[in-house]
Amino acid sequence: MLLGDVSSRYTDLVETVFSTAIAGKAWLATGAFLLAIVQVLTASRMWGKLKGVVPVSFATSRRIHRWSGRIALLLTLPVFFHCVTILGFRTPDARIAIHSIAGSFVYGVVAAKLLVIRWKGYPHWVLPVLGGSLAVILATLWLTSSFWYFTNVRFGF
Amino acid sequence: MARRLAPLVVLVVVSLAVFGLAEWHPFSPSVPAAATAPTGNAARGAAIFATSCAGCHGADATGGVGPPLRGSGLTAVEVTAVVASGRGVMPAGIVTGQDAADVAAHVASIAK
Repeated sequence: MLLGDVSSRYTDLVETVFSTAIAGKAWLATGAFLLAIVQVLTASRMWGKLKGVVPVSFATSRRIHRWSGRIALLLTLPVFFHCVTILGFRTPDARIAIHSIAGSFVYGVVAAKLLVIRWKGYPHWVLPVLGGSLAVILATLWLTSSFWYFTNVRFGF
Repeated sequence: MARRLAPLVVLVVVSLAVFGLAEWHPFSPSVPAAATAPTGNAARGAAIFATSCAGCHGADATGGVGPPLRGSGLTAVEVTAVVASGRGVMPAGIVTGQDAADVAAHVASIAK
């Protein structure tokens, strides 16, 4: 199978659900972004903040945090495939340049965060800084892609 | 010390790997050869244009965020190439396959 055929098969697969591959990517990224908000809220609760905003126990917060993170990561995989292996790193204007640069760091920050969680003994500020950075990167990516698509191209599936 | 720096090293290595893969973008569709004119249905392309292209190029293709296409003189082959590879703020592959061919036929018909 030629490399170009992979792209066609991917878009055909996505278009069985969404009108276009770009629309599918926009909605999957929106799902990941919404789950990132859940991640920030539950992480804050686990660190003893926002008790009034997130009225659940520590254990429940931890469970929601872990599963929302796993699902968010899964939602980003098709987006990663489309952005990285089909579209590639591009800088024709500020929006796409910011998107390309921020996108390069997503999985690096995820990997570093998972490492810090597994390996104990890091300063207490490292995990929130990594988690906060990941949330900021995901917000930047969503604003420069899905939000732009919904407001400039089309809001629909 | 090495253990303390491990997250930073992992962050840099993984990010560089993603950047390298994005620079390579191995599954990027090749732009069709100029001699290969797509066979599209202009009427069907008009409907796709209304949902996927009009947001930027205007409902009547006279321009908006994107450039005007009506009367632009673009051929179907040129439109197909731009749709496949993107241009400026326009993402590559916004429509693909037969949809792209149909949109190209529509745009070519109004670009004359």
